[in-house]
Amino acid sequence: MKSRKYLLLLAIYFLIFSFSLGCALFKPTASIDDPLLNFYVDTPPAHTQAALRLTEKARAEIQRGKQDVAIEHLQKALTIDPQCPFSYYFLALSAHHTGHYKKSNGFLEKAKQLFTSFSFWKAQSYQLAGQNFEKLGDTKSAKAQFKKAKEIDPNL
Amino acid sequence: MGKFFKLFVFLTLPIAIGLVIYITFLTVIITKKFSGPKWDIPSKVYSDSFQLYPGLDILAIQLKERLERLGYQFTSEVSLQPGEYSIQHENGPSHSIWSIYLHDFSYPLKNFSGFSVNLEITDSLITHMFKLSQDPKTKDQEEIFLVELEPELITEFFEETREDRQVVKLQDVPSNLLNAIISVEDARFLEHAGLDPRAILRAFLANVKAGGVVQGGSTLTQQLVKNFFLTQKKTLLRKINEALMAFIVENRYSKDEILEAYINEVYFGQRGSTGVYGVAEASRFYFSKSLSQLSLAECALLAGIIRGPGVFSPYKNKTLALKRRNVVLKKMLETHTILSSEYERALHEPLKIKKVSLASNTAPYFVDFVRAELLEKYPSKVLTTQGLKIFTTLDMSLQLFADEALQTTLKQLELQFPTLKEDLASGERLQGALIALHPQTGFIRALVGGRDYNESQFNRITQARRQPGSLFKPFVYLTAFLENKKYTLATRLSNEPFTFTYDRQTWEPLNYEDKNKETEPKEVSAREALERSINIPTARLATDVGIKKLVKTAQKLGIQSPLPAVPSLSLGSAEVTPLEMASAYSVLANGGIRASPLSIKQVIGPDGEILEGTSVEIQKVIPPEAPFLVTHALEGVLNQGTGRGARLFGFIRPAAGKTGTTNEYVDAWFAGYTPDLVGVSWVGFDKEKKVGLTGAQAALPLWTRFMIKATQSKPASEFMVPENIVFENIDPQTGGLSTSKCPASFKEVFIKGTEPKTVCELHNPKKKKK
Repeated sequence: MKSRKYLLLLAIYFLIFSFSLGCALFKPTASIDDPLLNFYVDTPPAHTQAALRLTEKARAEIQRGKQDVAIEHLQKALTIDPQCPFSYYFLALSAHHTGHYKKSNGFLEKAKQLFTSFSFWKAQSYQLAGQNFEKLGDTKSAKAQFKKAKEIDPNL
Repeated sequence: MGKFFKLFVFLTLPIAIGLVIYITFLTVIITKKFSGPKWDIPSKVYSDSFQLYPGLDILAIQLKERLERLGYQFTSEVSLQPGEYSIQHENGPSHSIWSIYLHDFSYPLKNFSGFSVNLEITDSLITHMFKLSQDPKTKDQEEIFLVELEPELITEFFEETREDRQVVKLQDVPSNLLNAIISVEDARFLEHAGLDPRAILRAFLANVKAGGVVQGGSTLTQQLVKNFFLTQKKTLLRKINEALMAFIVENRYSKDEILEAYINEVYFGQRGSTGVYGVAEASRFYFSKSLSQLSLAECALLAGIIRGPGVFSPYKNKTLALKRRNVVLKKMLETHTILSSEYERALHEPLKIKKVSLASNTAPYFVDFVRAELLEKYPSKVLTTQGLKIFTTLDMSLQLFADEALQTTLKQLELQFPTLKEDLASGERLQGALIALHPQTGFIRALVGGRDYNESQFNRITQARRQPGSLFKPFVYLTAFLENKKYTLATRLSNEPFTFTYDRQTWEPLNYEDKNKETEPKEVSAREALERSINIPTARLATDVGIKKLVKTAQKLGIQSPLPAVPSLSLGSAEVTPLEMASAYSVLANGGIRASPLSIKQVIGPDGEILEGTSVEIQKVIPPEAPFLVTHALEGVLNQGTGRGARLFGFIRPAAGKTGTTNEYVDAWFAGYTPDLVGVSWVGFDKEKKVGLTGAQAALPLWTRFMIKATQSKPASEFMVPENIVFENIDPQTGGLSTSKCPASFKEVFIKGTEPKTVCELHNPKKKKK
């Protein structure tokens, strides 16, 4: 009777362990297309949420190739929340798409500062900065940025 | 017979030739006017737009005042018209619903068509926002998360005459309005050739009967010609010219072209000193609506005003305006342009007109700054005639807060210190100035360049070069932290007088509070020197680090004025503008990243094309750690240093700042910032007369008054700590790591690697070896 109880307990422990292991192994990796709000552990303050909504709109416009509309949204987002790192990242991405690599790196400097608790995006920022330097012909700086990106997020 | 014929020809031929020449001359004038731009359209300068979102406090953002400034009309009715808003209280006074029917607005990249929104408010916070269905029968609503309130009109750039006009195409004008105008002003417009003999005869008979002028027989074409080319004088010559020109116009141009010119030309009344011209501007002026939103009754009212805006304007006489509207409706019924059912409905429509909101230039110094920037690219004539739309970075609420803070502070100072009151002999008044900008974007959010623009247009923010005094000191410390790892906020600096020799000159800096010389410590920490704004240790640090390096740092921060590399530079002897100081302090607030100050976002051409789009541009000029150290010390200035008055005044959110007072107390400054807003205030006399007050006494109250209101709509946030920063408990007396034996201890901030490695030796003496 007692051994049966132990066996049952063992089976429950095993199930919990397998479930946790599965969750850890098959945890979905972050993607650049994920909703930005998903990257926040706690609900951000109201003004950050408003800025994120505008940034999401801007992301869609960048994908559509409408950089001027995207910039308009992002500048409005920054007026609402000047500390929103995503707005800087997408301003940088927009500048990158229009060939303004130096300008793009300016925005990325601020994004890197603000992405303290978003390692995935911080790595993305270094990665994009590396691409900008590459386009500018500064291979040494480009390599340094790529290296840093890898250090922050080895999955990159 | 032949003789008479010859005489006739001899007499009439020169008249005929003269007439032909004269008609040709008139034709040239008319063609020139019709083929080119017909009107000088003033350029409009707008503030930044404003976003509403859940979580926003409507009292902090002064929503009601914003709506009123934008010309929204409060109504108690449930069903809203465009440009109206209502407030309904539900379940007690803390719950309410604000309904706003948004105006149409042409943004730089989109044409926005207004719709109704409901804002659910609980305890002054927006909790939800809903877009309502356009169809009043359905009660559909869709939750939305952002609502943009259109930019506010700050001012217009006029040519000599102040005429406000929006030019519209004929097809954009509702047929009801066109029919109303034609019915009442010139019912046979489509039939005559410029002159209407029937109308002239009818008017003649009516006038004879009345014994005076009671009716006019002018056609729309004649009215257009009179307004375009002739004076309003009632002379025979003018009447002949009018008839000739009307005839020419009708021959050369289509009825549509004439009508389009007429509806854009016609005068509708006065908005203060500015004339309202054209149906589109009139629609905005009287109803706060775009043309497409006008009801039949409103169209009739507008058409009725044309006869005499001074008499039939509803602002002048509501009863007369209503009577005239009904006359127009009757004419429309008679000319079969409306059905009798429409007529009945319109007749019973109450007359609703909006309150007149005069566009007073609330930011004249800012506008001057914008204009000066525009004049670098556009000729003045373009600005006053081409109808450009200039979208700026100004936040109108912040601008009003800034102006209010300036007026209050200067009045208070004059009350408190009567010697500051206007010197009647010289006529000079105490002046002040304030600028606020976003450190991350460089957007100028408020700018007040002086006390009274009518009195003095000199912009003390952008044009006045004054010594900044101690406002410059943070740059000394910043240079030290950037250039040499041996300097930290805990570094002990000598406070003993010294003489510095350079270029065969000597310089001996003194502390302000020399009367307390004996009680002054011989040594202070860098933090203490900055918090208490002590001259000697700062000057010593500057000479140690190198004045040329200090110049370089200041230039990196955005100071463009010449900076002579002399040691007194460290105490702020070089003259700079408040705008430059605001720009430099922005770099401190923004972690070493510089955003150039921006006042213009977009310039839109007459056809809606973007002539200029200024996007944010930022650049990392220094690593973030050193500015963080300076910011941390400047937080101390507000918490326990020379700027503690701000805390006593009630400004409690995390902020950093520095007072500045120049030699002989001529200029009083304060520069301070939260993570999201930098403000620089200055108080003094234009002629460098002694104010006799410190920055803390004169400029700090101005800054604080402004910042309390300017920051209230956002939650307080701390300055972001960069990666390579560490905090250590140190002994304030020695700067060494503190232990339990130290009588006092506080947490100091260090760049990683510069933190003290040894414990305080004063309170933890090393045990002597036996």
